[in-house]
Amino acid sequence: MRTLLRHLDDSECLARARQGEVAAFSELVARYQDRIYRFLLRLTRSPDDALELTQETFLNAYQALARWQPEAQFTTWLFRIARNQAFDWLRRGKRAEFVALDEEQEHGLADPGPGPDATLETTQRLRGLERALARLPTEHREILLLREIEDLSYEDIATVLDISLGTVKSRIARARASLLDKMPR
Amino acid sequence: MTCPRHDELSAYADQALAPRKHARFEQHLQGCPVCQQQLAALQALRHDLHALPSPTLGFDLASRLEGRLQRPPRRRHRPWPALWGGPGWIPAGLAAGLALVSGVWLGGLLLAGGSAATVPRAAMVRVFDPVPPGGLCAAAELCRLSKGMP
Repeated sequence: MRTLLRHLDDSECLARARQGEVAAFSELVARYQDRIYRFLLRLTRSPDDALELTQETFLNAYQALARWQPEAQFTTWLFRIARNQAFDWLRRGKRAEFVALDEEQEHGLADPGPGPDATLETTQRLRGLERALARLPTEHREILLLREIEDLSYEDIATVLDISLGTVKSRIARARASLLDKMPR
Repeated sequence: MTCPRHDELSAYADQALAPRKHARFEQHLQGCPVCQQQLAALQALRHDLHALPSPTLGFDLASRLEGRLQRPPRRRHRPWPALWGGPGWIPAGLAAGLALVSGVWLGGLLLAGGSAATVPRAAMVRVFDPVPPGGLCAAAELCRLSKGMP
C-alpha cells in the first residue's frame, strides 16, 4: 500500500492521513523518521531516549493532524513538535549536560576519502567537532543542528523555535562562534 | 567599509543578507584578509558539520507504531464556532459570569432595601384582623377593637 503513496508529496499524504488513511501517515513516518531521530539524538545524547521521543513526536503529530494548517510545511511542524518533546524531556531533568560518544558512535564517523593520513586527521577532527557540539548549550546546539545539518532556512528555524528572524541570525552567529571556540586546536 | 559584525558575516555565509548588504560585504571581503579568514573558518565548520555521521533508526518505525496509529486522529471540537468563532469555553464562561452577576444583584435587592420596605414585622401582622389591610371599616366598634389589639 505504501509503495503506491511514494509518488505523493507531503501535503497530499497529509490530506489523506487527515481523512483517516493510516498508510499515508506511515509513509510520512518513513520519510522523516531518520531526520527526527538524528536531531533528537544530538539534542538528548541518548539513543534510547531519542528513539522514545521520536515515537512520541510522530504519535503526537498524528493526534494533532486536525490542527495542521495546510499552508504550514510539514517538516517545520514536525521539527517543532520534536523540539518541544525534547525540551519537555530536558526540563524533567532526564539528562546529563554532556555525555561522551560511545565507541560505536565514534567508529561510525563518515569515511572522509583517500589516504590513511588524511583519513586519520579528518576522523580526529570530526570526533573533536562532535564532542564540541555536545558541549554547547542546548539553545546553541539545536539552532546549529537545524541550520547546518537539517538545512532549514532562517524563516523555518524561526517557526520551529518560535523566535524572530533577528534572533535566529544573532543566535546562529553566537552558536558558530561558540562551537569554533570549543573545537580542539 | 569597516569590518561587519560577526552576525553579519555569519548571515553572509548563509546567503541570508539583503542583496544590497550582500554586495557591499562582498566588495569589502576582497580587500580584507581578516574577514576572509573568518569566513573560511565558518565555511570549514559547515563542511565538517555536514560530514558528521548521520545516525539512523535502522528499522521501519511506522510498522512499530501501527497499532497505536489505528485510532483515528482527534477532531477539533468547537461547540459554537459560528456564533463565537473562538475557543469553545468563551460562551460557557460568559453564561456562568452572567448567571453569577444576576444572582448577586437579586440577592443584594433582597438583603438591602427589600425586607424593611415591603415585609411587615411579625408584631404588625394581623392575620385574623376583621378588616383586610387597606379595606373599609364596615363596623366602627370592630375597627376600634382591632386598633387596640397588640
